Amino acid sequence: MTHLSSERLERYLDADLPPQEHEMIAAHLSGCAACRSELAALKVLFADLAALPDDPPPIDLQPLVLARLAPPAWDARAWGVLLVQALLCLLIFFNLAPSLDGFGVDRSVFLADLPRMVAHIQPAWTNLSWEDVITVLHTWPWRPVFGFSVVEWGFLLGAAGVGWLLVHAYVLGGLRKPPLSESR
Amino acid sequence: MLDDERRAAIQAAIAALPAHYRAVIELRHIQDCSYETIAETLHMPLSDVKSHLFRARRLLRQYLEDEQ
Repeated sequence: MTHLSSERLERYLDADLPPQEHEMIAAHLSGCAACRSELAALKVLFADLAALPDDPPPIDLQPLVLARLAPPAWDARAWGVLLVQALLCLLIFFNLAPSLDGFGVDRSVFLADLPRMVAHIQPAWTNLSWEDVITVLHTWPWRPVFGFSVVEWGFLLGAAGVGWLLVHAYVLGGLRKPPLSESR
Repeated sequence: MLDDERRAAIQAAIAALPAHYRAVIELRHIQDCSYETIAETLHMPLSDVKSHLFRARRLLRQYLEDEQ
């Protein structure tokens, strides 16, 4: 015979079960001495708790409530992702800005030099140069997709990522409640 | 009625609970609050109230059994 869990028995005592399940448990209890014994132990605990004086020292709920209302703390990985996305935003700006003359930068020269600049951060463990990758992307057969190159689409997705992170952290993050820790 | 020794043991067990478990136990069993009221008071989902109550009671029983 499968015995009832303590959780279900507690919900039974708390009258927190649908009527059909409540009756099912009552029927099980009538034929199961082990579950009746468990229920009796729970009833003792419930009765003892109910018999405590109802003027206990006031519970300091403020730290508990504040902990649940505070937005979740960001860890180093999240900041790293945000930094990368912010850099992508800057690249979008340089790539899509109609003119950078006001900054003393020739856009075409900047874009021509960009692969070489990126190539300097080529990882040592691969022979594939970032310059090669970017060249391939720029010469992709279907290069213009809705007016943007593959690289530009990548940058745009990066910007969308920044927006998503900000909305997630500062809007949705405020609504989500961090789980309470088991630690004291 | 609880005898003094049993009352002291239960109060000590409650005091030994983590703060969030102590809060749900006191609100539910001592102040006789409903699950919904506890959820509103502590700003937590109803499911969390139920799981916290279950774990808190389990800890209380363990504590009291260890004391005996």
